[in-house]
Amino acid sequence: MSVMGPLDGIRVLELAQGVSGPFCGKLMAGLGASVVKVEPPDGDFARWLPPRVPASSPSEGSALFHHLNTSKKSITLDILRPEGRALLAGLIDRWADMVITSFSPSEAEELGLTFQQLSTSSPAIVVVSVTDFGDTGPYAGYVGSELAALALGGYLYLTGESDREPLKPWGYQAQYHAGLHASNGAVAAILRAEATGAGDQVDVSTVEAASFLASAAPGWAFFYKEEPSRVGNRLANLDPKQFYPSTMRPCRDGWVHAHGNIREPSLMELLMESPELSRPELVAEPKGHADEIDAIMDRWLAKHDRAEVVELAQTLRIPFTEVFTHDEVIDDPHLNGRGSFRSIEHPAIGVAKYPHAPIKFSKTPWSTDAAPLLGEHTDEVLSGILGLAAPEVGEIRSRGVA
Amino acid sequence: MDKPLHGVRVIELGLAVAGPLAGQVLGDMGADVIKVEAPFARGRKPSEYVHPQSGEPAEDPWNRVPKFNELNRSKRSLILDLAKPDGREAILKLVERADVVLENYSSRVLGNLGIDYDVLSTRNPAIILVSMPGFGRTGPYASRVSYGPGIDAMSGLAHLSGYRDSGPIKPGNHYCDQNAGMMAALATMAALRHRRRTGQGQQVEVAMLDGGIQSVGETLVAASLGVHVSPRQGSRSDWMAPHGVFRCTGDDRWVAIAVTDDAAWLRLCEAIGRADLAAEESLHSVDGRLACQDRLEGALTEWCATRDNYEVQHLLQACGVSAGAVITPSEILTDPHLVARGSHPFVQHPSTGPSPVPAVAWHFQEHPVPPEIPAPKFGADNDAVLHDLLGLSTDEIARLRAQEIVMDSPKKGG
Repeated sequence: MSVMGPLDGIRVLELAQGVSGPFCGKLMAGLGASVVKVEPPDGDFARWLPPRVPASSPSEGSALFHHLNTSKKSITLDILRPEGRALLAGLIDRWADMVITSFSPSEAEELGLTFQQLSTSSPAIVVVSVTDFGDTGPYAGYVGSELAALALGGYLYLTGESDREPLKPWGYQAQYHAGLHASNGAVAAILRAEATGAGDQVDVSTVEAASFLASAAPGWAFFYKEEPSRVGNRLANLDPKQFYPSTMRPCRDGWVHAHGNIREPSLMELLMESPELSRPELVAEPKGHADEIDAIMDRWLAKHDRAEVVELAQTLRIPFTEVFTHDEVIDDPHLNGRGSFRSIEHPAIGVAKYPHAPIKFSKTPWSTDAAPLLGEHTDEVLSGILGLAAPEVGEIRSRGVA
Repeated sequence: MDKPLHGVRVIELGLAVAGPLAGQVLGDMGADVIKVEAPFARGRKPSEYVHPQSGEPAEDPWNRVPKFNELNRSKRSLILDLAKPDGREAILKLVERADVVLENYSSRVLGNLGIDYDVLSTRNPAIILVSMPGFGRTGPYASRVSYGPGIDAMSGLAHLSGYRDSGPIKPGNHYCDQNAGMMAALATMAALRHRRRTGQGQQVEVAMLDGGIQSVGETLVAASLGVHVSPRQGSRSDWMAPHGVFRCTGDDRWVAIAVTDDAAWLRLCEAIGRADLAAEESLHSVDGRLACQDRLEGALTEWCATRDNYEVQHLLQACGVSAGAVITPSEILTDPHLVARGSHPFVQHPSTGPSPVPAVAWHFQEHPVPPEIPAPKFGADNDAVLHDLLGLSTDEIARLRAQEIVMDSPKKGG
């Protein structure tokens, strides 16, 4: 028998769409849970989002969807209709240990998808709701978005240059982080449910994931009575004596993340052959002289290629790294050499490379298999779990319920 | 009702952000997390030892480092010099009574200390060792050194983020560090489940870079198919418009506005009194709006400039438009929604008094586990762990103190 993932045997119905809930489901599937994605007849809306890649069908052309839905099965079910809802109830009752949703509290209530409602027949069920603003609180009914969650979580304010407007980090960082938090909450709740028989409703919000990313900043404001602001690529700390450099600077052919050796800051002088870096005022208050240190570094970096800079620095145990473009990341010899990507064939988009295991277990595998086609497993699931015969499934399909 | 990780014991060898964060999450979930610290830990420079309220040196400045305290709640503290033989033996005894060892030292440190997985698993075959190297133990960069922001750079995230006319800009703070910490907590809980079912421990590697590339995965999948996204689009979106950050009244006050679909565009026009824009047919589709973002952003810039950011948020949300004030770090502690959600509850710290701590972003509705235990004072649990848990005698503990293996206040230098 092949070795299964650490969450082997856990059965997850994913009704969530977009990024945060599906990323939670992806991590659960990666860890070995069986994840069945329940999509509306026109699919998870992420199927229609960029980046778009050439595909045999438009519902299969989103790289975002493919990345977020690896190792899952997909069924379509119109749960806005009573018949669809009854089928969903059957799936939960007979099969699911956990449900992931991204509905508002009132929608969830109407669909019968709250823990309170489900626990009468499934007391050990874990219901994870991942939304932009959460199930409670004054903004619970707000129109959400990555940008609004970043803003109201306090993370947007901290990204960007101090003399410019706050900057949204690329992509969906708050929602990815919310999905990661959700998966932690889910596994914790499952561990308890397996031990005690008592499930739970796990309420996760993207706005709190964003505020979590703000990390030390609110504590700093509280204790030091000073508002930390944006610092570009430097470390957030107002103390002029703080360590420096920790920033990104351009070399002759690209950018590096320039970071000194904290225990031996003087190694920087050796690397850049620049005695200027050891001037007493720079050594005493490095952060206070950050602009000056940047200018000294820039003169040297402009004469060297990125690869050479990183290699020289790392040889001296100075933690410089490359600022890789995403195209470079996909071809990086380290990531490819250690199996950080997996090439998978998908019937609609062909062979693509996917980020593989974020966690490497010595005894249990990580799963990264192709995302499902829209409704690929509807027949299999309805017949396999609900015991419906092929003609019945055909009828359900012909009525547009599945 | 017991917490999810009730009965689980974790030995945390965590430094900086990722390791301590993972330990803290497991502690929040009910594990007995024993943080084993070196005798000189908690800040290397006197400048980090500052009394936070007054700026005056305090009696125990090392217990008053906000950055430490906010990452180390829900734990106990044991000070142990692992480089000395008796210190090493003490931690191995501890490992015999533990379920998990969590560490984010540089990749060679555990081996150098003689406490790598082979040694630990000899003493406790069911032990789970979770490591958080920057790059992993295999591959050409395995021996590299880096901190979290250097991983943000290598993951592609910094390259992709930035203003339309700027170089790469990393997200605020240390995204990949926090990402790795949360991945490691998840990894630990998953490994605990495997052990519960099979009795097997294992070695678990959570490389920061492997976690970092997940967060830009869509660009990587696309790149592998020859589709290359345009980096550094400022705060714009490639499927929503307008979508940006606008200046409001006051110093460094901003509001974020995202028009999430075509209907929201018409609602926005009504809210800001721009019937002229609403009447423009070409703006009724997102493609039309994407084609003239400068002009639409200009309209919003003008409208927001004379308004308070919370006022804009309330006005637009009342009309069904996604908007949010760009709140500052101090507002994280006062914003009505975050306060109602309990995102930063206050715990009573023995040295710094009531102290805000960032809670995890999930809430158990039926069996809540809000953070309650503040970060431990330096070595607060030395005796409890050595005597009550390991059963060392008073004499043995005194000997460890005499050898400066166990300390009750930090050693100078380090």
